[in-house]
Parts: sequence; structure tokens; C-alpha cells
Amino acid sequence: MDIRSQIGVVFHLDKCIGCHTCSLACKNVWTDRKGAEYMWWNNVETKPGTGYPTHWEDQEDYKGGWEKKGKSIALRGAGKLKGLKNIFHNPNLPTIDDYYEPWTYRYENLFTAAESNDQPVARPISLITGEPMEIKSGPNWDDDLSGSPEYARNDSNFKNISQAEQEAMFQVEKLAMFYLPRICNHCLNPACVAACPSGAIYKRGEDGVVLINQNKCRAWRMCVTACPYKKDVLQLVDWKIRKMYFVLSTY
Amino acid sequence: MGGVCLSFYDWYCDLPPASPEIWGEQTDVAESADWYNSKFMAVMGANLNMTRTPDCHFAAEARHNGSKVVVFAPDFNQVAKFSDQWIPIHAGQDGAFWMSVGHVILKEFHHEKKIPYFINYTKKYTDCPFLVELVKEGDRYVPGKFFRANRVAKYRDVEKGDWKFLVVDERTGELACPKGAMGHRWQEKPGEWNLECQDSVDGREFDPQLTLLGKSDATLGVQFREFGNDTEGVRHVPVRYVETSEGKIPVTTVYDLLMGQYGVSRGLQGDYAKNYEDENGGYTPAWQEKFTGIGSKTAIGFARSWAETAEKTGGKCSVIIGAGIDHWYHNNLIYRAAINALMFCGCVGVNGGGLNHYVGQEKLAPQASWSSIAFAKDWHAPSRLQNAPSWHYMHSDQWRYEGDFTEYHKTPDNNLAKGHTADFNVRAVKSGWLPFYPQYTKSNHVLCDEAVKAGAKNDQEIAQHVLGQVTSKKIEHVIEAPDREESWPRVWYIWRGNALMSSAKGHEYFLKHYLGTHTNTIADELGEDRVKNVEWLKDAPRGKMDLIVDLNFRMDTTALYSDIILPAASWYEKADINSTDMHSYIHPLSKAINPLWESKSDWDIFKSIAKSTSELAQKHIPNPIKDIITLPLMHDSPDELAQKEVKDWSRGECEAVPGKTMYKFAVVERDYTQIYNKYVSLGPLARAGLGAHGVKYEVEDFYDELVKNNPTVEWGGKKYPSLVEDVEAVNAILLLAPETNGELAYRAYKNVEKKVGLPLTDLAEGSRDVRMSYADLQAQPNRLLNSPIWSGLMTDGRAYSAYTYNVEKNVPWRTLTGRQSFYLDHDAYIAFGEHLPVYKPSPTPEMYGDLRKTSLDGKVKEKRLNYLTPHGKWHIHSTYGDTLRMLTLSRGGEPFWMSEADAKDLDIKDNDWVEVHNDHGVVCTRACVSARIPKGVCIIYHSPERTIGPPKSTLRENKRAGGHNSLTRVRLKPNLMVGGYAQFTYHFNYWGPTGCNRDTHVLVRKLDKVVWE
Repeated sequence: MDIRSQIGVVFHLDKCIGCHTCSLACKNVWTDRKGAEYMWWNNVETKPGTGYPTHWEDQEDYKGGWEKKGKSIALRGAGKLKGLKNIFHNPNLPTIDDYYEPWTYRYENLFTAAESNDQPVARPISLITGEPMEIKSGPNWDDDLSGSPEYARNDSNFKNISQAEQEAMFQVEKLAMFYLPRICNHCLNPACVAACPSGAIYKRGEDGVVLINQNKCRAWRMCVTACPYKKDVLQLVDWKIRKMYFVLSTY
Repeated sequence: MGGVCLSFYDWYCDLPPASPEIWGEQTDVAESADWYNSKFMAVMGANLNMTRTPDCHFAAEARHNGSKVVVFAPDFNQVAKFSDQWIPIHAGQDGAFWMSVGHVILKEFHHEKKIPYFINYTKKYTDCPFLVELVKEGDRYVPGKFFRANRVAKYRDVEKGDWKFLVVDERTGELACPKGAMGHRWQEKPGEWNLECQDSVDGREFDPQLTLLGKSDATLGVQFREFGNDTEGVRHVPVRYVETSEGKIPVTTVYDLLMGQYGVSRGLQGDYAKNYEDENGGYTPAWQEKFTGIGSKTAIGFARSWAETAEKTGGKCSVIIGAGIDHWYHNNLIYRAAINALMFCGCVGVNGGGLNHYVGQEKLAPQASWSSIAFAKDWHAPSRLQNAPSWHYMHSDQWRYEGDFTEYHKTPDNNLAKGHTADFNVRAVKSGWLPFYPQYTKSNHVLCDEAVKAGAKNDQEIAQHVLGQVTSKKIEHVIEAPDREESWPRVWYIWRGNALMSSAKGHEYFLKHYLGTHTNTIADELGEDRVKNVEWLKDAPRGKMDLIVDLNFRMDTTALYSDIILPAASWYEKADINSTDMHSYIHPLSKAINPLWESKSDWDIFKSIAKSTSELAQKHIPNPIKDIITLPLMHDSPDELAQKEVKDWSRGECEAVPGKTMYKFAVVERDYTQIYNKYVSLGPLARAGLGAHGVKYEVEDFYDELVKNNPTVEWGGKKYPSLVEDVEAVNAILLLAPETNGELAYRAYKNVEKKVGLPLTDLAEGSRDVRMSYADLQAQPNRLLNSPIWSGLMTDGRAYSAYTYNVEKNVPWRTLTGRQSFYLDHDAYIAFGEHLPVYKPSPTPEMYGDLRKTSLDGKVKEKRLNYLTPHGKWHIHSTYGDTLRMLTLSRGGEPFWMSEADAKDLDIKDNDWVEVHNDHGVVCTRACVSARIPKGVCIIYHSPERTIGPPKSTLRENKRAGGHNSLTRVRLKPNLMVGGYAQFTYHFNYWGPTGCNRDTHVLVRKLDKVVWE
């Protein structure tokens, strides 16, 4: 790869108010189709928190990114040989529950419910099974410290903090939080490119944008493991990996 | 048609009554761009980061430029995270903090340092130097009314002398009668309504003396009351004796009373606070601690930093305030405490300063021309404009469920400030303070017919006849018998509001008494033995409404409960215009596509209803008929001088004189066959001139221009500007408004110049040739023009900040003294103990009555929490909070936020189902457990829909649980109902009690068994 320039995006974290307008603009334009319901190329997380997919930062679990190997570096969880060995069984992938089970509502019930002495409602329905479901997580589940006992307190970055320190941090008057907007970073040395068994992913020379050749992609999902930000996501209907392309066409 | 139009701004509790109290203004605030000019922003009850998405960057950029941001919030919310300092104040106690800030400012910066900028500002722009009579009560004195100019020999015969006031000239020690008071506003002689320091009789220049200290005839012990600890103290204030025909009267200045009230001793005797650490004797930093939970050092530090910033920057300190404050029962007092700190430091009427209240969408910039069309004033003045809080309180029978207001509202012991809120409202209606419709238990048309049969020859005689019927008690006011069948409201058009859910304070009572459907209220009726002037029927009616029609583009809760839904076009399917107080532009809503399926624009929907009505009228009401309208005394009119004292004609305390001691009458002829024709044409009354806020301007040539150049309609042999299409209505509004037609702005200023006697047209000179049409706005939203209907100046790109017009051009505020008001001398304010700025404690849950039947039973783990419903992410200022996308980004429904500690006590884990309930109703939703919520409070963000997945309630025999307003019931604050007195005079959406709901308490428990159907 002869990278002659590198496009980047900068988010001003003091000005970010967690409004998620950027996520919505991206979602509405790029991941609005069947099979992409659970997919958010751009998401905004509250820190501390576990984010989307949950605990994406925890490379002990997901084995994303690079690790030092002597004077060189190697992929932590994928790579030529490791990748090949796990090609039919990759244990280091987020499951749908690590993202969330996407849902809709049975809106038509509001119009079509039979006459009764009580009010009809629209219940949540899974977009995967089509059955009524209990909503247990979402792409922004721990927004603004929602569910802090389960999420903020279990932020991967707090692993080395003592219980007493954590208690002190979570007193209401001592709390801190901030928003972290996240997209594909179009890394200088992209782990996804290195991990792809099909050679479908490449970093384009003229601007450094990391792209997936959809004709070559076989959905082995090694990039999903390799990406330390979990920004390569599987299209459940097309069975191809999709990611943020900087508002460019795919090829 | 003569129907009733319900207000929204006061009902939503978006109206801050402190604004009319202090400024005589509904609301006027800075646009968000002006935040950048502020050097110190105190943010309270407003969550800029969450609910001001497009504007928040101005605050961020100001901070990066060195401005300080201090946030008051009980929870660690988004804007608290954003601030330089977060003050984790107890919910609803902000007023106590600000009272102590006032104490520190008055002591250090006024009394000790006498900061010249502060002193000169309070002298000229506030009522501080005005004299107040002290009234003897036993061995002490109490503050009375403003000392009226006509009580001294020199001013005895001045015009409207009851409504002019006196100050002492610091240079000569003589009394002076400043121009600019309410009397000068409505007197015959023009040119004296201004803020110049000139005596209004001899023109002599004077320097208003703030304090009589050191120049007094004596000091007198004045009684001050503090409601938080429920204590009284006698503190000496300097007085001067003034010779009147009734002898010598002791008077003091408002400034001296404020020093007494805040407890700043200045070496005077009496029960003054000894120092900041003294919890008694005034609103000290130590006093506030037990209410706010904030240390006194924090309060002192805040006050010093505030005042020093204001001193160095010429008043660039601002308060950004919102629904988190505005929805408390005593919100007017909390607001006043903060506004006072602004006024003490000269922060109102300067860029970067002022009270920036952002709740609701109240700034309708082209108000004059819009209201002419909206209220059909171009054809028939006046229309029936009802304050919704009183209407819903009475008609939805919520009044039946409470006892005397003194059970939860602390007032001094006197006859006026006690009893039942409904009785007070009856008094308010009879006295012309507030409207109430329907008016009488007999049809207005029948009354007019009877009058004619009895010999009435003209409208005046019809009114005279009806007055006779009223005073002889042959007919009753509906408000005296709201439950009688002939009093019920029957047909309700809900135009794109969510009137049955998000704005239905007391939603379950709406279901019960308006709709007569299932309801989850279990509250007992307590009013029977308490209410005296409202007829008590043993069984309250259920289902008063016959028909509810909803114009909507969503299947929201209101649509679900309506009889008929008329599908409405969305923003991009119609022509309309839009303005706000957040910025100073006027926007078009353009039609990108045609309305989908059967939907129509609002304009076309009402037009078709008008058409059908006219067609049906050919058969049913073919001939014109008379309609008599009762009207309250009106703000921005001479009615503001109607009632110097509170007297009730119905108790024989005075004669019933319409327009003076009671409401007014107007008789209108209605031709129902012509409603459609009138709808589609701009009527001749619009040609006769338009106006708002007491400002008038002539438009004949522009009306004629519309006839000449624009589409017209012709009927009855006359030609009118066409309003057939929505675009035509928009263009008529734009052409006839001073904010969008520079020539009209010029004319309006010219007219105000006459009244004020000072040059003003320079404000419009540079934009006199500007015109904005709908097509212009479609090309690019335009900035509004300077207009005397609004108080901010925007010349040459300057950011809009309220009251800069008053401060820089010496135009009075529309108040009693013409200055900003610290002292409110209305009889009822004195009776309620709110004449001086004061702290009143929040109603206790025991007395407020949310939990009389709902109590901790000991069998189930349950807790009592203060229930808050602040504005949430994507809920407010967006119609789309409950779209799938936004529900996915939240938790799939509106959760119940609670603290980690409370959740732990109840064995509730995050995302568990909970049941939240009180006497009014029940909500079943999921818990959102968070460390950022303090113990003891809980939040359901405003506003969930009942349509999205609430299960059934085990506590209510498996009936469907409701929404956030299932847990509320409205209480109205009686002293906000007064009228006929200066700024305390009714105007639609301007004055009246507000629909507060923040003092509610609930019980919460885990819901183990979730039942859906």
C-alpha cells in the first residue's frame, strides 16, 4: 500500500453533547435495510460504560488489534495461520446479544385491536424472530450512565481500580462522564486488512480510506475479531461485512 | 363561531408568572447566540445539552472563551457534566439558594461597596427608590401599598394620580413624581411614559434616592415573615413622614424594605441576621443550607463571583432557566429570587445578561398580524380566549379532589389567602380577573333573544339586561356550577397537541370526567365541605365530552382516545412559517411533497370544516344571531387601572360595574352561513390597523396592496385579500407584521414615540424598505427586524437580548411603576405574603394529597420518592421521540430513572419492571438504575405515550397502566389569578395560574408479574 494521504475525522469531546444526531444521519442513509437493523457504523457512547457492542474495548475477550511480538507486531486474535485454523470456528466474535436484538413494535394493534374495555398497545417484536420480545439491550443502552451498576461500573478500563476507589468514583457528587462518538478510524495500519483471509479489505492509496471489496468478501469475519473498535459488522441478509466508508461508494 | 380557544403556554406550565409579575411581559429572552456574550451563566432547571441540541454550542464556545458556567441540578445531568461548577441542590430548592445570594450581594456590593454601576442601575431601572406606605398593626408596622402621588398636596390633582408614584430626590430631599408609571401610560396627555428622571409635573430633573438611611425622620420596626422556618421578625427600617390629608404617613423605599426582608442590618435595630452564619434574621447563606443541602461557603463564593463578574463586565451575568424550575408550585418565587440577583447587579437589558427562560414555543414573532387571522379578529373582535389551567381544573373536576389550598400552601392568616382554590377562581372570574367559558348555565344566544324580547334595543342594552340577570342571580356562571349538565364542554377539537396525555396534568381525571372511560385514579373527593361558591353534586359526572376530534399525523395517545382523527400533513407537506425565541430568524416550512394519502394541511382541514359548517347553517341557523361574550379585564389596555383595591361585588363590597369591578360584555353578531367566506378572506377589521403588546400601527395601504397585487375573493359585493391557500395566509401575515415589513416597524415606533415622548424611529430607519414574502423565506430564512412589540434590539447583526430596548431607549416596562418590579403591592400579594421576594417551602407530600389512599403497607418492599418529569432526550422540541429509531437509541420505552441506593433497597435491578403509583394512577415501566440520580428522587422524562407497550397494573385489577401524567393532578396557585391591576391583568397565555406538577410524590415497587393482555 502506498498511502499518500490520510483522511481523518476529529470529534471535539468537550462540545459533543451526546445528541446522537451523527449516528442517526449515518443510520438513516447507510444501514436502513433488512439485515442491517442492528448495525450502527457511527455510534456515540457514554463513558464510563461498556458501549456497543458491549465491552468492545476488552481485547482479552475479543482479541482485537495488534500485539507486540519481539521487535515486530502480530494480530492478537487473527492472522495468517491463527486465522486459517479458526476459519470455520472463530471463538472471538461478538454475538447478536453483545450488539442487541433489534426490534420493532406491533403498531397495527393500535388500529386493529378488537373492542375491549381496556386500551390496546403496541408491544415490542423482534426483528430477527418476529415474536414478542423482552428488550434487554440496545445500541445506546448505557446512555448517560443508564444502568450504571451493570455497565459504567464494569467499564473495561476500570479493571485495575480497587473496589474502594470505584465506590468513591460513583458517589453522585463525584461522578464524571463524557461522550465518545465512534466510527471506523481508517487506521494507518489496519488490523482488518491484515486479518482478511480473502484479501477483500484494502487501504486506498489516494486518501487512506479502508474499503471492503464486496465481491471478494466471503464473510469469514476475521476482520470483526481483528478490528479493535468493532466497526466491521456482518450484514445478516447479504452475508457480507459492512463498514463505514466515509460516505463513498463501496468500490 | 364563538367557540372557546384554550391557552397552552400557562397550561403546559411553560409560562413563568414571575415574568409578568416583574416585567409585565409574557416572556422575552435572549436568543441563544447571545449566550456567547455572557461571562457568567447560571443554569437551573434547564438541560441545554439534552434539550437545546442546535443551540448548545454557543454555551460551549462561550466557555472556551472564558465564560463561567455554574449548573444547579439535583441529578448529575448532561449540563452538569458540561459545567465549570455543579451545585447538587435539593430538587426545587433553588429559590432558597438565590435568596441567600441576594443577601450577600445586598450586604457586600450594595450596602458596603456601593458599586456605582449597581446603584445607578437599580435607581433608574427598578422600583427600588419608590416609596411604600407602612401600615401600623398592633405595636409594629407592615409594608403596605405603593404611596400614591395624589395623596400629597403637590400632586393631588394630577391625571390618574392613583397610578403615579413618588420617590425622594437625593439632591434636594423633595418628593418627585417620576414619569413612566401606569398612570402616565393611560392618561390623556401623551409623551410622559418614559424612564427619564424628570418630575412629571414640573419637569424638574431629580436623582432618585435609593435608601432613606441617614436621611430618615425615624426608624420603625417592620414585621417580616419567613416561611421556611415559619418565623417572624421585627426589623427597623428608615422612614420618612409624609404630610397627607389624613395626617402624617410613614413611608420607606422599596430598597429599604428589601434590605429588611433579606435581613441586611446596616446597623439598624431588630431581628437582623448577625452574620452569614446566623440562620435567623434573614436569608443568610447559613439559612439556606438546610433547604438546599449546599454549604454556606458555596453560596457566598457564588454570590461574590457573580457580583464581581457583573461589576467588571457591566452586567454580563445570565440565568438560563427552564421547566425544571418552572413546574414547581412556587415557581414564581424561585424565579423572582434569581431575577432579583440579576437586577441587583444590573444584568437585565444588556447583551450577555438577563433571565433566559426557554420553556415552550411562546415567541410568535409576527404576533399582531397572525393573531388577527388566528382569532378571526379581522372579522369579529373579540373572541373567547380561555386560560386552560382554570378550565381543566374545573371542567375535569380535579377541584373536587382537594381541600383548602392552605393545607399545602403557607400563607399569612387573613380572609383573602385562605379557602378552596375553586372558590378563589370563582371570585377571579366574577371580578374580571380571569375568563371562564362556557359563561352561563343558559345559552348566550337565548340570553340575547330574551334581552331583545324584554325590550333591549341595542348591544349595550342587551349587555345591561344580562348584567341584571347576573346580579339578580337569575342566571349563574358556569364556574359556579361546572358539573351541571348545561355547563359541560361537549365538543373538543385537539389541534396537533397531545392534550390527553403529554399535557394532561391529571390525565386519569381527564379519562374519568371528560371521556367517561376506564381510569386508574382512586383518590377521594375532599372538596365537598370545603368549597363554598361552587355547586357540589353528589355524583361527579363522567364523560362530559360528546365528541373529540384530533388533527394529527401520529397515532399518539390523544389520537387513540379520540372519536375522529383527521390526518394532518407533516412539516414538509405544507406551507407555514415558524419563529422561536432561541434565534431571531423566521423560517418557512415548505411543501417538498404533497400530503400523503387522505391527509391535508391544517389550513385545508379547518377550511373544509368551515365550509361544511356554512353549508349546514343554511338549513339550521340561516339567520344572523346575537352572541354575548364575557371578557376579563385586559393587559395592555386602560383596564390595567380598573381595580385599585380588591373588592367583590358579589358580596356587596362594591357595585357590579362591567369593566371596572367585574368582567366586561361584548355583543357580536354571528352569521354561521358566512363562516367559510370569512375564513377564506382577510376581513376589513384587519385593514383598520393592527397591534400587540399595547403597540398599534396602520396598515391600510398594505391591505389595499394585497387586494391589488395578490389573489382576492369576492362575495357580498366586496373584494378581499384571499386566504384560500395557506401560502396566501402566510404572505398576509408577513406583509402586515412590523417584524417582517420594515415600513410597519417604522410606523409602530412612530406611534410609540408619541406615547413615550422620546425618539425611537431610528431603530427602524435602516430597514424601512425591507419586506419579506414567503418566497423570500423559502430562498433563505430571514432575520427579523427591530419591532416595538419586542424588547430586544438587533440593529446591525447584534444578538437579541431582552429589554435592551427599555434600558437603552428609556421605554418603560409595562408595569405599575414602569420599572422592573421588586415589590408587588397588589392586595392579594400582600395577603399571600408574596409582596416582597420570599422563599416558600415545597408542599409536603402528606398535605399535597398524592398519597392519601396509597400508603406503604409493609408487606411489599416499597419506597416514597419525589417524582420529577423533566424534559428528556429527543422528547421535547421533537415530534419524533417515539419513532422506532429514537426508541431504539433509548431503551425501547420511557424508563423510570432511580438511584442505585433506592434500587438496592427495593431489590430492583436495572431493566426490571417496576410499578409506580399514587392516588391518581399508576405507571408500569422498566427501571433505569443510575448513579447520577440522587437518593429520594425519581425521573420519568416527559413524555411517554400509552401506545408504546405499557403492561397492565396488578395494583388496579389488571387495567392498563398509564403514562407520566397518570401520576399528576393539577393544583393552581390562587394569587396568580388576580387581575385588573397594572401588570396583573389578564391576557391569553400571559397571565393566570400555571399547570404545575413538580411537587408530586409516588410509591415505587418491583413488578414481578408482567401482564400484557
